[in-house]
Amino acid sequence: MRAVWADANLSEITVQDRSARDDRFELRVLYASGRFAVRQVLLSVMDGLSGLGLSDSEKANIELVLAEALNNVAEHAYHGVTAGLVELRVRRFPNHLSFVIMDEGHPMPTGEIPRHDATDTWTRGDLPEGGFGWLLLRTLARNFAYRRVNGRNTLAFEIHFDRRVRDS
Amino acid sequence: MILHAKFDADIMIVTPEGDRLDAAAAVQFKDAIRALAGQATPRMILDMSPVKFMDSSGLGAVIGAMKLLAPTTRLELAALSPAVEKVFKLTQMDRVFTIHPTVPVWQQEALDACRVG
Repeated sequence: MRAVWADANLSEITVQDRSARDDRFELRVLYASGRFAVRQVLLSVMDGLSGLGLSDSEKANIELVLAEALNNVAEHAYHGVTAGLVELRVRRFPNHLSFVIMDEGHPMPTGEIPRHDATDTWTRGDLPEGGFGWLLLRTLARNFAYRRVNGRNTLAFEIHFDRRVRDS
Repeated sequence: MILHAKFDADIMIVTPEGDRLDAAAAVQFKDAIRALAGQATPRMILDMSPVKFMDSSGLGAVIGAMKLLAPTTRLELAALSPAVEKVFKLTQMDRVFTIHPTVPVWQQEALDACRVG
């Protein structure tokens, strides 16, 4: 296990790799939400995943999906809240990575994952400037699950690959 | 975010400094484009070659830039990295923008000549 201090303020980024012990890769990141925190977290996570032998395209998909999900936490769940705590866990399975994101911010407005995205505006003929986040999330990831329990949001999803993912 | 601009009467080539057009950079990017809008050239080519990562906030900022430049200036894009190109394709925004594979050479030469002369 190695710990990385990504930011002198509050954002502790912990990267755990237990693959040597029980063939289970898990990466855990704890950080304080903020405008520049997501960028730093993404760099750390992508560094943490660098040993999995992923292609550039797969890495680009993971980074984009995580950016959208973590930006949603910063902009919606923690709207008006400074330095809310976020926990991200990434686990490796034979053909996919699973992601769990937890925060203690506002719940999803409808109590569930948004159904509408930019494609709704698009079909009305306007050019949307937002709403692309969930479009990208739904396109690149699958098996979304959202729960609100005891003031805590948990969002889980998976990114699948057409081959086994292993340590390089 | 800092934008570098080269221009003559008809065209402006704008190159962002920094490799991430993300949620943290989106507002600054749009403000910088707004500052350049006063030049009122008919075309602006956004040279995206330095940008290696763009999220939906960055995409929204590029669309916002196009809207605020119109109708005086038409925004076109050039030299998208694979990860950036993917975002345009998945959102079908590649159908909205004119996207050049590279910054057109004759325009670079014309601008260089213009700068020297």
